[in-house]
Amino acid sequence: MDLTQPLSTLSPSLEGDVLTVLAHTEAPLSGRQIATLARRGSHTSVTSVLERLVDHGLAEVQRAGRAHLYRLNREHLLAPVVLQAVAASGELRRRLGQALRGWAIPCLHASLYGSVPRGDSRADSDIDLLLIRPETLTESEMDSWDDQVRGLELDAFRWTGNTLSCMDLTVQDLARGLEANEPIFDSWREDGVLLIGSSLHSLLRGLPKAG
Amino acid sequence: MATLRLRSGTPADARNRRIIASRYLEIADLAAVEEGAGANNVVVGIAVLAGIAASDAICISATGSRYAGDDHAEAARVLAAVDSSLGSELAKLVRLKPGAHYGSTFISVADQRRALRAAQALVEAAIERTAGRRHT
Repeated sequence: MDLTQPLSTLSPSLEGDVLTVLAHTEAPLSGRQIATLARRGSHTSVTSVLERLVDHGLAEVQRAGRAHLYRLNREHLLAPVVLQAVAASGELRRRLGQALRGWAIPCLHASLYGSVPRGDSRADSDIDLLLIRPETLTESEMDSWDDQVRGLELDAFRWTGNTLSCMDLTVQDLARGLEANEPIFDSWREDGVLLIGSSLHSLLRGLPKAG
Repeated sequence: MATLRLRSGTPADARNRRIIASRYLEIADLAAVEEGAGANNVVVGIAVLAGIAASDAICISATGSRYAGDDHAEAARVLAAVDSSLGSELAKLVRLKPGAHYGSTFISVADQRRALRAAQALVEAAIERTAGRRHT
């Protein structure tokens, strides 16, 4: 599914884009503003969609001078469906966090990075997850860790239809990458959304000094 | 969830993929003695190729078809439908790819060994399921 525009899974037409814009604000917007905020559609086609939504009661219209202003009718029977669909990305974060907190081998840090938190993912985008595991795990603990990660990958696929792509590292792996100025650190710093555990900064600060 | 892309295969195809898997694994083992920047990434990369080829052999042998796309995570899900434990082995291997893809220093020697062990398990399963079978 498209986690940036989850409603497109239910409504792939322009209606989905328009409803997404309406669901993101309680303030009334003009047709032109909605056309600008929607990912596609001309002013004319957006206005036509808005008129249809008004006919069905899902959008409300008010006059402001010569302009028509629209907003989602949040008391409509279908409004909860729209609002829940638009919030799917947050629900994914909640479910991932809940699953990660239940792990027998605790995860030191988990954060989403890449296109999903950046807001430019598409229907076929992977969900990129950075996982930091404890430094020294026995072979059997490592097996348990792998089973936990595999379980989460399968859950996330069932929840979304997208691949959960896990970057599974230790703090030492992270420290080597930082020392080598690996470019991926920029994405983790700029787009990373912490799900559970300590920040990367805290983890790296806790490392014993070399020498 | 893209439409599943499967390609049919014969027992001879399964055997060929198993032979290729074994050769990749041999090369991965040889590369494992190399040191320096990116050396562990190379081993992981070749081990993934060994795992994918072994998975193809196992899937063809079990179902007459294999995954035909380039999404290795999807390949692991296809293999898991044949054998969940082997699917987990391939997923473990594929999980090392982002570390190898996004930098030359993230993959440790321990990760390299994990990759080789997972590839070995998959190649052995492919041999078990295809060697000695009649092929046309």
